[in-house]
Amino acid sequence: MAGSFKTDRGGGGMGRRKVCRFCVDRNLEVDFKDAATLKYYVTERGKIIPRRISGACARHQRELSVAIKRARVLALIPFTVSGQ
Amino acid sequence: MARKQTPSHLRREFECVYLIRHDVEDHAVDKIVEKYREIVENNGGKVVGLESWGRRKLAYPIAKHRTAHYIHMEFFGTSELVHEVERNMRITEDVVRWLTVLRDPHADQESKERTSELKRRKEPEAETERGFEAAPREPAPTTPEAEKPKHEAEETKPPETTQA
Repeated sequence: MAGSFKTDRGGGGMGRRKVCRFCVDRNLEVDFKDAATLKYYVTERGKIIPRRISGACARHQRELSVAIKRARVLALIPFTVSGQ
Repeated sequence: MARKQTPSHLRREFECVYLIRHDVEDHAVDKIVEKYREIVENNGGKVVGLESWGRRKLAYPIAKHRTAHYIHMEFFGTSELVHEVERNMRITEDVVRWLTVLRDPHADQESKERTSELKRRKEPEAETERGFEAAPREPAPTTPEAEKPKHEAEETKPPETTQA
């Protein structure tokens, strides 16, 4: 699901406009306890997805990066997933 | 053990999630949870939320454990209280991980309680503004009236679509 917001840059065509989920839905808040939502902003390897890919706005990306780091401490999200 | 209460305008809202080893039995878990609740209450704090998430799988092993009991505690207190709670967690071997986070750096307990009370007061007003003035007093007569036009609209709509 991580790449669902990604636009096709090389193709030259207009990709899907990226929107910040947290700006669209005002009730939705960045929460370090909500691992299911944070997973959308983390790669399969466990790295934080950059804002140019995820489409999150600056403010929410800032909040997301803190929330992901907190969730990692509590073992809700892995620090890294080593490929076998 | 009981100390003097910290004034509410000096207390801020914290939330703490801590992990208890999976091999600790349920009644022992309750004991630990109660212990930390008492530590907060006895050190001039106030517990406002206490929730157990149950035994969850860890994203990575901690101290060779693959699962742990997750406990979420919300409380009002000072930074000294947080230090005291965390000091006790460090001593207890059954608590393998914890994270205490300040909810809002700009709000104290007094302002938090005031805003929540204002919200509570505003909510019934908003309801009356939306509906008729009599709506909260007599909800029964208004609901059938509100439903009737809907049903009529639904009944009229399908023939229109079939004609089209």
